[in-house]
Amino acid sequence: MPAERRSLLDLTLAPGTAGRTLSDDGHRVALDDLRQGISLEGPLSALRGRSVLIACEDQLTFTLAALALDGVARRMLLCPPDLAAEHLPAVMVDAEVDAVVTDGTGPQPKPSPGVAVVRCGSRILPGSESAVDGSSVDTEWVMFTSGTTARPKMVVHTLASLAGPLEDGVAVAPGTVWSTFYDVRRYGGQQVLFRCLLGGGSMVLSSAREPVGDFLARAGACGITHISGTPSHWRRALMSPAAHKIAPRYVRVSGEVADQAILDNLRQAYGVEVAHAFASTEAGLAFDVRDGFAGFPAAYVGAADAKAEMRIHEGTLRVRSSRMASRYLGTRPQLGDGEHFIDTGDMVELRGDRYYFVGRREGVINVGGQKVFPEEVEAVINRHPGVQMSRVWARKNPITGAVVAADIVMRQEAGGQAGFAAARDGILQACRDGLPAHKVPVSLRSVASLPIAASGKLMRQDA
Amino acid sequence: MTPVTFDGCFGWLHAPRVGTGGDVAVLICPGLMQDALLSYCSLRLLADQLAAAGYWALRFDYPGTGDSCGDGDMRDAGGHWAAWRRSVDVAADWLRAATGARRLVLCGLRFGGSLATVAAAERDDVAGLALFAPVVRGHSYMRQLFIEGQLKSGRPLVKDKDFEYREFRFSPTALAQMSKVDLRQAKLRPGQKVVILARSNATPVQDCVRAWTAAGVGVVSLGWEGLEPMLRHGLTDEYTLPDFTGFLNWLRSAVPAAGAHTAGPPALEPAMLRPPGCIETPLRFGDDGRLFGMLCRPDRGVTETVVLICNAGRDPHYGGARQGVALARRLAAGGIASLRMDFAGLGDSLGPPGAENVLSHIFANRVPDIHAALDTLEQIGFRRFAAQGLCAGAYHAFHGALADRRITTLLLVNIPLFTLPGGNVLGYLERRSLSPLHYLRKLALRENWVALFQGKLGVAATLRAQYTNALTRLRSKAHGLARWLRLVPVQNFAGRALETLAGRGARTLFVFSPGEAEIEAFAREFGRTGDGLRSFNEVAVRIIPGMDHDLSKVSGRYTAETFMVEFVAEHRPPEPVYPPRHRNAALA
Amino acid sequence: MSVQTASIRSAVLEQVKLVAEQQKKHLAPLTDALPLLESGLDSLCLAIIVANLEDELGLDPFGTGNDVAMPVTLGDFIRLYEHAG
Repeated sequence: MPAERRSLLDLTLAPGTAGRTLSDDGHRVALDDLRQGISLEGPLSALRGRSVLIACEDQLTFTLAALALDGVARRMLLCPPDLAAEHLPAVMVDAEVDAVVTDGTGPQPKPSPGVAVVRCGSRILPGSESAVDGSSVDTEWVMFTSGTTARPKMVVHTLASLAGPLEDGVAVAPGTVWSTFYDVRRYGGQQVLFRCLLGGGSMVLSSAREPVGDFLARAGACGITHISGTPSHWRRALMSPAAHKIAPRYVRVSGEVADQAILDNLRQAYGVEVAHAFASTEAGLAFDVRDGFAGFPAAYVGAADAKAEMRIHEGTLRVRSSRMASRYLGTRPQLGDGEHFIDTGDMVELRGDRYYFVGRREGVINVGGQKVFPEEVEAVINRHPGVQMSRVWARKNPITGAVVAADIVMRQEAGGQAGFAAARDGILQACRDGLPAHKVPVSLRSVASLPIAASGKLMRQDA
Repeated sequence: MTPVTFDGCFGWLHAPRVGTGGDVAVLICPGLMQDALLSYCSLRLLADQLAAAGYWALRFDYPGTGDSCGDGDMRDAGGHWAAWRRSVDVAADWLRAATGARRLVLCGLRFGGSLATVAAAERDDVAGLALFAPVVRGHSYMRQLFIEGQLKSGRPLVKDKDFEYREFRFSPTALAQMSKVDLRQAKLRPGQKVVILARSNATPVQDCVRAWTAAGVGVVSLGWEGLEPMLRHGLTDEYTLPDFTGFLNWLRSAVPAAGAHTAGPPALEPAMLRPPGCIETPLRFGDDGRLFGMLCRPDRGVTETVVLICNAGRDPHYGGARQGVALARRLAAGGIASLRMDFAGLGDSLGPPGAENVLSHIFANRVPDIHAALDTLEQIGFRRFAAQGLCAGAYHAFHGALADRRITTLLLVNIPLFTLPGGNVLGYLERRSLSPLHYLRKLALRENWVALFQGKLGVAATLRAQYTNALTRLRSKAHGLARWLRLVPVQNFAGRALETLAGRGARTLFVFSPGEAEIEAFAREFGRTGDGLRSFNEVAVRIIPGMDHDLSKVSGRYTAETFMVEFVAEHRPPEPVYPPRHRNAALA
Repeated sequence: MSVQTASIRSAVLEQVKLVAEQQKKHLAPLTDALPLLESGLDSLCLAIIVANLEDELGLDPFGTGNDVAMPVTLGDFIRLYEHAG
């Protein structure tokens, strides 16, 4: 493969570059300029064969650096801008980082004699060395899992494993403009970026600085046609008055359990089919579901012709495919079981001819020895017409160890927080009707908003 | 002696022999950092001798030091000086309340002497004050720390910025407060009895004697003879104990213990510390409970995993720069328990009868102590065992794992050698007048010394001569060390041992600082980058830039801790890999 | 003080009845000597009562960090709250 490997840049330029752009809230770059230069201030040759940390806040800066480095660097680290400084030295050691590409923002390692530093930015420097020439090495793409307080794991992908899911034919039509609420350094965002680059489209990148309403307005003004995010991203977006400023042809949900309520709400808001996908940084994309219903057909499991093979082991989904990561960096145990199936940690339940996600194995709440998954309770609460989003958490209790508690964000139409009192009994009744007694929240609390982590997922660890 | 806790501080109460005295209690205020590490056993001995002479004695760790709660910052506590000064009062009040003693003698070593003196001047229950090599001028002491800090970090320190040194982080305000201390100005009370045990020719000490005598205080200066071993770092020699006879004679006549003491130790609450995220309880184990360790558990959840933290050299269980405490509390945050233990004769563990305080050389056989610790931890309910050690501690953890199949995870930091030359090791080392660990430690600093003499550090010229001598000595020893290391027969012991460990599913993490000396023994066995380990899936090697040999710098140490916590947390053995309590003999 | 303890007592009893009703449990006649385990309330009911009382009265007699002896009778349970107040 190395001899024939085409770099990401090569693959990006191949469909033609006319009218294609990458933009964020500050800059717009024409992809055609990539034929003439790169965004790095140093010679690219200095980074050949190196293990490179890309440290910057802006996704556009990151994307341009990655386009220059793929096929050149031995390894590149898609360092999330919020990586805690205390984790950085261990990251440098585990990944044997010997070069840093940075614009001076993001996690900054201490200067060290063996580590080269190259400046980068959000502009293509004309006349600078183009990355198109030269043989292409099979660069390792190192992605970070969305850790809580512990150090995120570093997961090794290749261009091939990351591009694998793109064979599904979604959005290769000309004039496609992609966007995502995700940071493109996360798996969910990276997938959208690749769909744009390899499929011949343009891309509107999000920005951590930008309020969600401003982002929606900007995405709308750019005429985005395809957009993705987590259910939490979407619930927050639908709360914004700017939600109607985008008119996508394709809406995608991934990263968390997509319950029926969010799928219905999105279809209602945009009048299009809504796809939801199951993927993780380690396992890659396992499947997507386009029939508009939560869960996935039971026939997916064990199907022989699937791109990704799936198994249920002790109630947990396991996945094996060519799209999964090859390994973790560092001393961590290797990915996958004896047959290379990756344990996703996501628990599923068979109801009729569909499997439904009930929650993360490690997030389970133990109520007097009985298990409750926050997600299954949230799914019931979210069905209530007045509820925008909810978070279920374990409240300490001396009798049962824990009881179920829920924080609820009310819809504006339902009167916001003021509307909670009227809706409270109805929500509880729905829970009592739909759940066994130990899963019914003991306390309901109305909150103005719920925290969403940089990964786009609802933050749970502080509950 | 009984472990006690009060106000987040850990200490040991030594009760007087029944039938003698009991109305006078002695509060022992330790020094800081190296001073505390080196004298830890000596102060245990002192407390024992005080108890034998009819006095109550309490030794304790200040907040943010030793096993006590608190970190090295102390900002929330109003700075180090205020927190420590307050803790002396709390300890003194606690001591009186617990024992019923009416009068106190404060006894302080180095900076503890400064704290004791200021407390003695401000309290009305202090009859006597004993100062061992006291810090008379805080300013000089801070200056000394500053220079040590520069040597350690290899770069000039910036004034008006926080000063990080070993386990502490001093703000400019905290430094200023400590610098202001001047014992010559202390307003001791007329009638108080004071003894100073220090090199008698020291001018500041003479100043104190003059000033206090003039104020009507009964001051005696006894000199330092006999106490010299207290602050000396012998590693391979049989340890000479300090001689407290002169001090005890002075005490008996200056503040005699009166009254009849008939009760045993007072009824005390069980000792327990609650640092954030942890529950720490003292644990006595082994024959007659002679061994000691601090058991640290996460304050939530149940864990079956425990890490045995071994002594590094002769440092007590809390570790140089508190690394034992720091690792234990990081492990607890990761849901893992630990026991930071003292081998027999070290820290708070007693040697066998008749040799309670004889410190054998640091490579003595510690396998029996490790067996005893695991037996106890198993009885408590732990099912998965890891062993961790730095330098000589790593050597012991390694040999402990070979001898005890219950250990399935090893965390070895800067392991200096895998096996000792046969025969009489002590004699061998003495003949060569070399103690490898000692020089390995020193060598870690070598680059910094060089920087110093090239003038890069800008330290006052007057200090240079002093260090030049030391450097010359070091260079010759370094040469000897290299010779010594090559003389060790290579028998592939390490390779065979790792094979044995891997064969039973045990995993090993080697952590090294990037110095030549640290990696020497390892590289000899496995190649500089561990190529010889390629065949072992169960072995990982990490070399951490910025980490120093003895983990005294917080920054590099934090990364080492991260790797260790992750390595333990992620080990999921297939199923029980050992029949409980089954051991095999040490690999010879 | 007596007013307060009286109101705490009634608040506890009210919660007991409310939760029993919600959980569709049949309550035995409520007396101080009634063992909790025979009251008709299961541990989930008790857990909910404790959580509700914390919300309503701001009292958490179990959460003070001390080891609290588990109440055996309804009277013990009520007194626990009265003393926590």
